[in-house]
Amino acid sequence: MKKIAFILASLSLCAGFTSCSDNDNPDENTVTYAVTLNNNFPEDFDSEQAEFVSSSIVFTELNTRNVYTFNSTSANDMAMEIVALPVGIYDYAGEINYTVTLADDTEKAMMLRTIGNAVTVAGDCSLSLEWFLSNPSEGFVISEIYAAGSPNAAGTSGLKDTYVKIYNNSSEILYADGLAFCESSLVNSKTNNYEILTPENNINVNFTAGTMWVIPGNGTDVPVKPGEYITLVDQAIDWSEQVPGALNHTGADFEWYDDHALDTDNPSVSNLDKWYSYSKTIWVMSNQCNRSYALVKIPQGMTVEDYLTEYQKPYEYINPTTGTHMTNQTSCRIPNIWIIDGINLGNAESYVHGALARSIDASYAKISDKNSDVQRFGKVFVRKTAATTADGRVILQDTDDSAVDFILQSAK
Amino acid sequence: MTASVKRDSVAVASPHIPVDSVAYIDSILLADLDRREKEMEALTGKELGEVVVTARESRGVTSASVIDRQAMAHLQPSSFTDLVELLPGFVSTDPNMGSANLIKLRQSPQIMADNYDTSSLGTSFVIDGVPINTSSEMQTTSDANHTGQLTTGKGVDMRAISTDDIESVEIVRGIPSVEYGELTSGLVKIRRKQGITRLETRFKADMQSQLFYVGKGFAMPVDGWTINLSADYLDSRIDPRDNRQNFKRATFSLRSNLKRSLSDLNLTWDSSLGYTGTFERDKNDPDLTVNNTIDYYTNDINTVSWNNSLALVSGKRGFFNSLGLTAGISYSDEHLYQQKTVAPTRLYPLPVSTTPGSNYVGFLPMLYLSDFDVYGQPLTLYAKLSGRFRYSAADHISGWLKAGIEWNYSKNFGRGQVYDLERPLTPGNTSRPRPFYDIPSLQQLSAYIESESNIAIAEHALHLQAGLRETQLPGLDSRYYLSNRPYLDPRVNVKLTFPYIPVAGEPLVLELGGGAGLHTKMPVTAYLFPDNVYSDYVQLNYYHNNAEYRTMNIMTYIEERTNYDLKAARNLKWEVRTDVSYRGNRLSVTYFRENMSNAFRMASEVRYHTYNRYDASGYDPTVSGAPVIDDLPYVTETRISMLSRPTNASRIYKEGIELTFSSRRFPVIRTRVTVNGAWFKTTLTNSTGLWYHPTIIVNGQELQYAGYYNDRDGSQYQSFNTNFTFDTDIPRLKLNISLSVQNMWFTSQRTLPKSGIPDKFVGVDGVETPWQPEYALDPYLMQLIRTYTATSFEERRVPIASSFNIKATKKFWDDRIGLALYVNRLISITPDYESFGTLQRRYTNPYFGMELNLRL
Repeated sequence: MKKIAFILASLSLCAGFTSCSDNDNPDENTVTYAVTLNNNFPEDFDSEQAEFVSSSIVFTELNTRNVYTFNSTSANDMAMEIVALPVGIYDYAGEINYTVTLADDTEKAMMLRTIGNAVTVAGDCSLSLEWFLSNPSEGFVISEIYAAGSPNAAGTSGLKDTYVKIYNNSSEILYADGLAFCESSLVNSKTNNYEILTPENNINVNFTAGTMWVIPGNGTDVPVKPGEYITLVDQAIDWSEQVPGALNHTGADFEWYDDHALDTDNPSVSNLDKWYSYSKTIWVMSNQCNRSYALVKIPQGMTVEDYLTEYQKPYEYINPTTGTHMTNQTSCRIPNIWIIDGINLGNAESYVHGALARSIDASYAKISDKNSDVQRFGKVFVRKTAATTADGRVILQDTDDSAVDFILQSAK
Repeated sequence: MTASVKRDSVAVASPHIPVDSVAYIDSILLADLDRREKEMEALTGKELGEVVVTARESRGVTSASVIDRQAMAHLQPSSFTDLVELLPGFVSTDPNMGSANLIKLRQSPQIMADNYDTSSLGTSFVIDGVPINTSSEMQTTSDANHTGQLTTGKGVDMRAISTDDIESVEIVRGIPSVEYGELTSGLVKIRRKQGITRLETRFKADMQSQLFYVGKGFAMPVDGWTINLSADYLDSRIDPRDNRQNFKRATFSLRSNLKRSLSDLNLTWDSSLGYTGTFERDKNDPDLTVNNTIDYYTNDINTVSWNNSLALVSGKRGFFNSLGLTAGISYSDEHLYQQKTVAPTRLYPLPVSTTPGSNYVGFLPMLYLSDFDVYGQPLTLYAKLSGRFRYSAADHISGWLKAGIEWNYSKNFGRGQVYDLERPLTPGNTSRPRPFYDIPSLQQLSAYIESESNIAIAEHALHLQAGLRETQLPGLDSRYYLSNRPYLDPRVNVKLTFPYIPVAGEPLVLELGGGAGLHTKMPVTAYLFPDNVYSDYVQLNYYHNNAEYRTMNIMTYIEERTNYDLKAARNLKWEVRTDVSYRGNRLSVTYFRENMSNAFRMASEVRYHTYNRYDASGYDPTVSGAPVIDDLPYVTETRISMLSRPTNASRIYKEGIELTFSSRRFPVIRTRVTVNGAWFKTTLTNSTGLWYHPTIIVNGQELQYAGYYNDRDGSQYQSFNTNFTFDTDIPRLKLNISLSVQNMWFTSQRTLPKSGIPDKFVGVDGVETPWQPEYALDPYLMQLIRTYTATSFEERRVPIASSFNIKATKKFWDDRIGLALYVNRLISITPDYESFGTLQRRYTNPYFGMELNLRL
């Protein structure tokens, strides 16, 4: 197939929609309307290099929960860009699978995705689909993230028995040293809905981090077998000794120890390296669960000095409340291509958008409906299981869409 | 004796003092001014006994506002704070009884900036000749939620000053007489009621508070002896829906005034006993918190004072005029108490050693009740001997010589902060309890001499006030720069009254004036004797899974923060004034500048702390138990620490124009227009370079460098307002109604430009290195560059805010019953405006109150 044909082929999946009207579609007799799809592809998507494989788009009607699925594997029919849907309000999610050929002639599977919410179909209409690049990660994923902590002794706040689990989702041994666990400089809430002015800090280019913790090692010091994980914790202590019901972290793999007179250090648990932090106080995960976190593979051989010289840069933004231009100086840039996995956290009341590119996390993991909900304490985000292999290895779901990939459950 | 008006030299005050109206030396001048004002008003067509419901511009030699009983009755204040609205440049504000009310003369009212409290600290409140001394006020808390309620180093809390006993107030905005010291920014002279009165009661209620006052002046069986008794009580809720946070004030006052004539001498002895109690409560509602946790804050201040003044006034016209002796003693019992349920969210070590060096420490429990008390017992003593002499040289020069000495003393005998170090309000506090009584007392000795003369030159009258004040702190440790160091404050005021110009048959009186002077405020005890700072560094952090082996060792540094080089804050003021009176109309305009470049602030200095980091990684506790630092290998490290100390590094620069206009009362409609307003430009910056240590972690460590920046880190504030007051006095109905249109035409704030590039920096080795551009490429040194957005230095201007306030007073039944009410912001106009592309909306709410006055 000519590569030039790809873009047309991908559009032609719409043709497939009419022909491959899905079996799930509940009622054949319902009156449908034509929805014209206008496809917008990201700038960094190179259609010349892409080889179309398959595509699909799923519309879910919010009232009836009816699901309308359209698939295409054909690149030939390029006549139509229209789907037929009954009256309703729809969420939609689509993906285009394609491959690129790398310099060493190996083929790499790639994916474009689009999602949208609450689109009304009440007649013939058109819909703009904003496609973004989404590369299904294989390898390390964040499998659990516990930022709120267990309730403290008075029940008024969350303990810092917080943790992160990093899971080897592949079939090979992977090495975790050199991985960085980073927290966004920005807070995912309405009051911090800044308009970023510095082009390098556009979320589609770089992730703007305020704190970077790095797993120490020479590249082969921290092997993680397929289906196994490592745990990073704040204080590697038995919290249940302190407050009943809290977690025991004495068996953790790493702790983020702050070298501060108010922190503790368990000698039997290794400490993470703190490459950079916006504050010299003890670093804690977002107790409100409203920041973004990224798992980052720092390029081999990059030293902390090299990194800081090149990437520790201020950014300018506009404060939405006052309209003033401000500078944030205590932040680092992390190129999106270094990011292995990421998750936006937030609550429904104040979440506007995450600090991560949509290609890294298309949505966010919701801790609560309300802001500062005390019910958040004791709740952990856990990645869903996608499949279990014959030898018992669990493959976790990773669609780069944390609202879909994670469930919220009790940490105990 | 009566005040005679000589039409050919109006402003030359006749040196007659009406003895029967003089209570003590301090008020001689005030009485003199009152009299002179009446003369002037009589001359220019103003009726005597006219009702004035606003602040009047004083007829004195410097810019000052006079607020008398009538104005206060019309304003219906709850505390002294409310009177500030009457000064040029200020508009009405709602009472804020939830935090200390500080006076900020001649500066844009929107300023909320730390480090510039010298403005309020340097405004002296003098009540019946005795200044309020706040030097030994020391109440503090580490709880940031409550620091705004405390006044240590900030001056007088106006919430505590009740207005009902006040006969009149003169607020000197310009250059006060050298008779008054310990001030930089202004002088508030309060004269309290004296003499026989009916039983007066006042009951006031507004949206936040209720106030009750009762007072009476009695004639005693002895001739010339009167006693005034009064008490008031204020109960204020910061939020009317919340009865758990409130401010209460109770005052009691007993004032005796005895007059005697001894041949040619008139003797007046005033004695006053006063009590003021303020009680703040701020507790949470356990029903609204999770698990009924308790947070409780109370701050009680009980002050008792006893003042005496003896005035000897000569009835003759000789050189000697009067001699005054004033003495005051004031003692406060202050108790701040906090209780808090503390449930830490992490396991905190307890780095709370009180000894320097290596210390083993324990850990904080996960739930405890923290009790925190601060006991303060400031005692202040005051004595002043003053004399007034008259002189005349030839026919056209006459005047006064004034001289005096003043001494004050203050010491806090309180126990200070009392709490269990192992159960702190906040983990990781860097202070330790220190009894206030261990802190030396502070004494101040001053002397002054002043000449106030009237010189008639041709048809002009020149009023010249020139004086010199000397101040020092005796008894201060000789290591201090300030020890016995004399400060000289020369101050000059001059006023030229032109011969009156007949305009349409009526005299127009033109006065030009001006003055300049230095003003000195000595640092308070909290600045001279600051608490030590305790810094702790982890030497060994070994939180083993087995509790028996857990060990934490810290290196404690105890640092004295005393700045022996601390100087007094000095303000250089000058102003020019003009005053035109015609047919009962009067316009006064003052242009002023004030420059205080050594105001107090806490500023950081670089310190280096060295400690050992012990490596327990190879240690096996199962062999010989918990590790001991002596057995472990270590490396020595040095950290930069910023030590905050009291310095003179703030600059307060004020510039502005103040205007007051009052019309005559127009007949028929019986309405007078008063306009006061001001344009203020206030610049608040640091006056020396400042050290800054970025609070970041780079490569696992706090940054090993600190930078020194010569940038002006501050802002310029501007405001311009005019208040138009139309007051209608209808004697027949005993009704006075006023409508006040208060326009704040604009307020603005502009952050001063900064480069963000350090001039020099130090590393942990303590070596200072000048900054070079190539350091911007070093991953560590580049952290010292502070970047700013160019637009952040643009002016932020808030456009007009306009409000209409009405006030009315009505008297019934032979003036025995008075009713008054006020509504502020009955209508207010605050247009939306755009700021940096964002629409800003403003909302205001009316505020109202009313009161009942009974005179039985």
